[in-house]
Amino acid sequence: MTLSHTSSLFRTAALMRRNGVTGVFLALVISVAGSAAAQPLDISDRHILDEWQEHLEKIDRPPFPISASTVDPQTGDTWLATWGSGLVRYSAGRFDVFDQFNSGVAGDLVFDVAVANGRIVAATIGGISAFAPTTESWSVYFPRRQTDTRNVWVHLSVREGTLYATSAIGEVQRYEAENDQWVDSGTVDPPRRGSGLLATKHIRRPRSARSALAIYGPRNRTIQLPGSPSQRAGDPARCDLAAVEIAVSMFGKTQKDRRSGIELVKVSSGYARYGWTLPEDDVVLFALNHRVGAVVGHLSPRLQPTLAEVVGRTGIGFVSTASLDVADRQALFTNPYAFRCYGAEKWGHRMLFDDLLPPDTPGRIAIVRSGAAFGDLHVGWWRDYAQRRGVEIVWEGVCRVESADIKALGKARPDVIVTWSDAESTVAIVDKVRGIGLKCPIVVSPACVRDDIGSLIDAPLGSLVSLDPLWDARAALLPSVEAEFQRAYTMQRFVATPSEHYTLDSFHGADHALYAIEKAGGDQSMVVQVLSKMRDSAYGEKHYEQEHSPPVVSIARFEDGLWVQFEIRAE
Amino acid sequence: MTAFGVTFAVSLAVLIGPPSDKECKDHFPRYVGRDVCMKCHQTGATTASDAPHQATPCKTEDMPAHDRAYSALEKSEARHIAALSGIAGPTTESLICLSCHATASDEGRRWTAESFDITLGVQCENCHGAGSFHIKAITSGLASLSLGSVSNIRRGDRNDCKRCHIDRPSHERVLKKGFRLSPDDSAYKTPVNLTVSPDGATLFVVCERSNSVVVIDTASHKKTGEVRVGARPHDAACSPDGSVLYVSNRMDASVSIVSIHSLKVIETIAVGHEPHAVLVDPQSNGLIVLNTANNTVSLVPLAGSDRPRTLTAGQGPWSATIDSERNRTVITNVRPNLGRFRDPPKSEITILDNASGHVATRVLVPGANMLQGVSQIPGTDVSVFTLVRSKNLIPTSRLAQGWVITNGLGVLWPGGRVDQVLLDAPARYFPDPMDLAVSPDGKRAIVVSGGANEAAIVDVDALLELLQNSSDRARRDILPNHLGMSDRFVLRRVRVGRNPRAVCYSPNGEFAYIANALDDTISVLETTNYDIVASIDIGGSTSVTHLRRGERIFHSASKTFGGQFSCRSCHPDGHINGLTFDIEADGIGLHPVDNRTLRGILDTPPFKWEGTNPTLHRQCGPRLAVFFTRLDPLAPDELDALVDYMCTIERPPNRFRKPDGLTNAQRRGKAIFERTTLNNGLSMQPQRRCVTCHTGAYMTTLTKSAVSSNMWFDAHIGVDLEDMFGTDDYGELGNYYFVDVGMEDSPFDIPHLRNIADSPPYLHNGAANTLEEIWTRFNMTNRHGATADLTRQQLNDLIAYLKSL
Repeated sequence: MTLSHTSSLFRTAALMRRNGVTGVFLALVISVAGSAAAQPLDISDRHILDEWQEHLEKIDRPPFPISASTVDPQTGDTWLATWGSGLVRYSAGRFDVFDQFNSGVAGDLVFDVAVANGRIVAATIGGISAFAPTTESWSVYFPRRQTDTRNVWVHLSVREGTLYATSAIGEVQRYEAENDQWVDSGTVDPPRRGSGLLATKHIRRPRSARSALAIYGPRNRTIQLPGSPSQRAGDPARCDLAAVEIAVSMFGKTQKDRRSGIELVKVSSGYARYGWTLPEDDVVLFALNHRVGAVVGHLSPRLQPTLAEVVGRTGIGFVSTASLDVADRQALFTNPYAFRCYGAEKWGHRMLFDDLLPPDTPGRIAIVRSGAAFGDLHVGWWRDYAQRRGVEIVWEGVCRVESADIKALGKARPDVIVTWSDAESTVAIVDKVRGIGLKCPIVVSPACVRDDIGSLIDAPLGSLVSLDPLWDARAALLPSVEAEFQRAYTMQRFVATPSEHYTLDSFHGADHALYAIEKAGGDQSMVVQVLSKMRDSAYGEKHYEQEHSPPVVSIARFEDGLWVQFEIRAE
Repeated sequence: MTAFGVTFAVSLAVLIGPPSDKECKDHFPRYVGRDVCMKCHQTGATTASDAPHQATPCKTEDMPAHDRAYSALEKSEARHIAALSGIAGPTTESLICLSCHATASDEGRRWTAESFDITLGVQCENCHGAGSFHIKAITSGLASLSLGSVSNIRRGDRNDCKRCHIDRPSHERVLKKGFRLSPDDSAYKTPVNLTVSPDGATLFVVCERSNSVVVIDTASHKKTGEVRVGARPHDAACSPDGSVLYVSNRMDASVSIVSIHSLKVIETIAVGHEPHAVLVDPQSNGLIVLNTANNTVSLVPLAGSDRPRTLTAGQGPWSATIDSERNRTVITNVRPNLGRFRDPPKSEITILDNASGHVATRVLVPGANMLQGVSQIPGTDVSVFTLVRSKNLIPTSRLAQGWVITNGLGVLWPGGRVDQVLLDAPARYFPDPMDLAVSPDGKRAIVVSGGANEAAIVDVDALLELLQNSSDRARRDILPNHLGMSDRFVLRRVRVGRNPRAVCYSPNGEFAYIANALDDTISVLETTNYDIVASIDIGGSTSVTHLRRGERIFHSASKTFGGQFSCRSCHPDGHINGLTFDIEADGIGLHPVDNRTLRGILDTPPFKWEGTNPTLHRQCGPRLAVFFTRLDPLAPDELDALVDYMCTIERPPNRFRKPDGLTNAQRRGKAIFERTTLNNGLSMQPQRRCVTCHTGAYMTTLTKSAVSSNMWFDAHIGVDLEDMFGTDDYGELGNYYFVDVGMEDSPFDIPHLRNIADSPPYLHNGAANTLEEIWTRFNMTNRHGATADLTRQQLNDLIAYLKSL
């Protein structure tokens, strides 16, 4: 509980400030409770960590990190919360894994574990799970669906037999064993923006992770360079593909980054697994399975905030996709490991600005100029828009900042820092900024990302944000690709979501369509055949209802600030 | 709650997910009973005016047999049917019997109204569903909402009759062919364990069949008393002062505390399920009980206010010995730990630290299972235990010279090193080594072979010397499989009674006692030359009934090829050994099949995972001859006896079932099990519903079904090594590949689900270690029930219900 103790004190102060006497009481409970929760693995428990890694190696499994542990005083067994391998019981040298495939635990990413009321309670990405060893039964509280972005319970505390759970955004719930229910117990201060402190534990990047980049995507998808058939077919989902293109452009030709020597692992298999497997779980498993240092995300945009958050906490670099209409963007920027790419056209700048500093909220930015004309041009745009928005520019200076300037920058405590330079200068700037303890997001030049993504991924630089470095190249292709798509397929356009099914699974639908189109090679009649075949396949089975209706899939794209869905219907 | 409220709540719940525990009580209707139904739907009413509320008069013909269904369970024939069905306890409490002879038995009385009377037999709600919501809707004046799925009143469907009205071999054997238990069947003792009082004057013999402990005076070798304990006692231990005897009761999940002075049970305490060994730890003044079904160890304090603790053992903790000097307990486990598909078995020795009450060490014994008897060598910190080495990955067609099953000893050294040696010799095997005891001076050990009716006298020093003088490689690779080594440490083999299961020394080491389970005798050996000096009759019936004969065949290796093993070698307690075997005749390692329990199997045809054997006679006759007995098949009368005995192997009470019925989670799970619509409201195809295939008394339609569970190694599929590297794309073990390439789905027997939680691993090849994995790993096609839309909680509820069956 390296961080929880500190955070408990912080929360105590915050509650006292906010809630008066009741708050003081609650704050004290939570503060003390923090010290009675899952115990950290101290030096004497080092052998468990080592044994766990040896065990994984022996059974050829990825090096799942341990995020928390607790000892059941009744049995002497140690319960481990792991990242990627669910809840694990360590009993006299034996590891019993309870993951979402062989047990009732709600998720494989486990943030915290506690023993309370004779049960083993785990805060997982899928909700809070409680295992009763005597009845061998599992309960799930606050089950989290794939589309939930905020409700992540990350911390458990036990005080005088009472169990408390805290969410990533500071909600506190108290468990009443007699009624088997949770009672809202107020909130503690949510993590400060940009702090990256979204949970009470900090996961170290696995030691055996190599400096490699993997592409995480749907089953049977092969990502190719811009202009290739699959790229054309995939255009409606171009936002998803943007980050992938960055990676491919970096590594595509040589399979190896020139400067960093980082290797690209192209992987086409993905998350075709059980229905309720959460993508966060799967991405972590994926990254750990391939023992890579970074992952290019290729998932529904609504999942990106939590995805970036949880994947980022593994210490694995995560390149997210372009800006889309997601419910909560803030989490992405508080992830110290997440990159995010925007289109480089004008609205890309504006969208990025609004994401970082939402409208109608006060904000403070700092600008670090490079001195180069092109850099100043972009930075100038940020300056202008900040003035229009009424956002205060608390510091502005050139790249080669002296120590006195840096101190001034530190005192200014900006919410966002914008810089625009080449990779070498950017790394130097970011080093200095992070060196004085500023953890806010830093907007960097897309050229910087394009030229030296490897250095950025490997450096502990905190949250970096960039515009899409390949936007210009891809933008030129757009009209012809869209025209081709329109010509080849009957598309029925409608706005918003036609049904719950499509809301949840629109991207699965897109995958269906893309797969079908790819297989059909442009022949529309073939598309129908492929879709028909898919209905009978395992992939189609996931959408059972399609068996009762004509083969229909939907795909979605972001257009003029709205989600637009297209339906491809078999004639 | 108004009817509309009820209706709305139910409708909403269907859409948004399962009710919480708190909401559960109001979410599901309760059974109100026939009399309440008939108030409105009185039989014989011809006009609407005859029935209040414009209720439709019941037009179903009178079915007096339905009314008498419950009382039929109290007839004398019911006892014989139950015996043939492996049903322990009263028939009126058996879920299997009640599922066809009563209403609402599955849900239990927690889900019935006060007006409901189970003794009225098969009532209206058995086919129409629980009626409380219907009643509420009617009384609230919302009759239009009273029918349909929302109110859970189903239209009658004659297909429902087939759930119960099918041929049942057990009923046919009793009602048509006149099968009856012999009075002698209940007159046997079947001694399975024994212990000597601290002063050596008294021998206590635990008798499984008679549910009693027989007391023997060791001086006169005479029976001096008997005390009745719980159901199917298995082990006993004396208190250090010799005043109290603790007896574990396998079927009751309890320990009887017996006053030795008065020979009466003075207290019964609850422990885990199917308790086997029980020990008294004098230093902590507590009981150590091994709960074989739960895979746990109960530590029960005998004084003070401490609460009992439950520790996790290996799979099927069986026997244990206390090392007083080091204050530890060494525990054997009968089944291997669950591992990966086609991994060789590894069984666990669990070592408790008695001082802390925690598990101190777990030692794995590679390649071994059926670790049973264990004893400490006095004066050392070395333990010896019995084991079986099952080569379950090798085709059983290679059934010769120990290529499939060998039997031996394990030696546990300080520091956790384990050696294995065989007690088998070429053409003279030592099947089913079930127990051992080491002499007080540590020089000799006696091991009993339940399958060969022999006791082996082991020179302990020679055994240890052999191991210590062997190279590491020999100890690891050669000795565990060497059939020519036993004469280096086995001094002689002594013929004892039938099916010796337990052995112990007198405290002074002058005598050894062996419990011969299937002739109700105790062999007494003097320990100079190890000759039998007496055979004590403990008072069981001396006649050999039909079932007793079958029981002897089941436990004897005399009929199997080379006498290498018995039926019991793979079915301890008539259950499972947790392994998959390749029993097919291909001889090349294809089509491994999971071992299945024999408990209460008569009414669950067809047999074999491929469902090719319609009767047990077929399964145990020609099929047994091909694979196990080879040229010396069972004679017809032997086969009859064996089959009938197997049918009577009892199924323990379900450990997940509460006396008052389903818990909230289990009730929600039942709704998932019986659901006809997906979470999004769309209708499920009948073949994708759990209840379509798993229904009736045994939760099986007694047929075969193809659910796309084919995997690599299945016989008709073959193995494509190149494909195996692409398993990511083809799911676990290629589960999806066969569908992807359009291969024909092959049907397997629909297994019954009674006590399913006690029989891991699952699926035809044992690839799923837990019930969850059946759906999370091996249901990629969604054909083994439509489960892909289930939420985590729903799947948990479904599993909870399955465990309660």
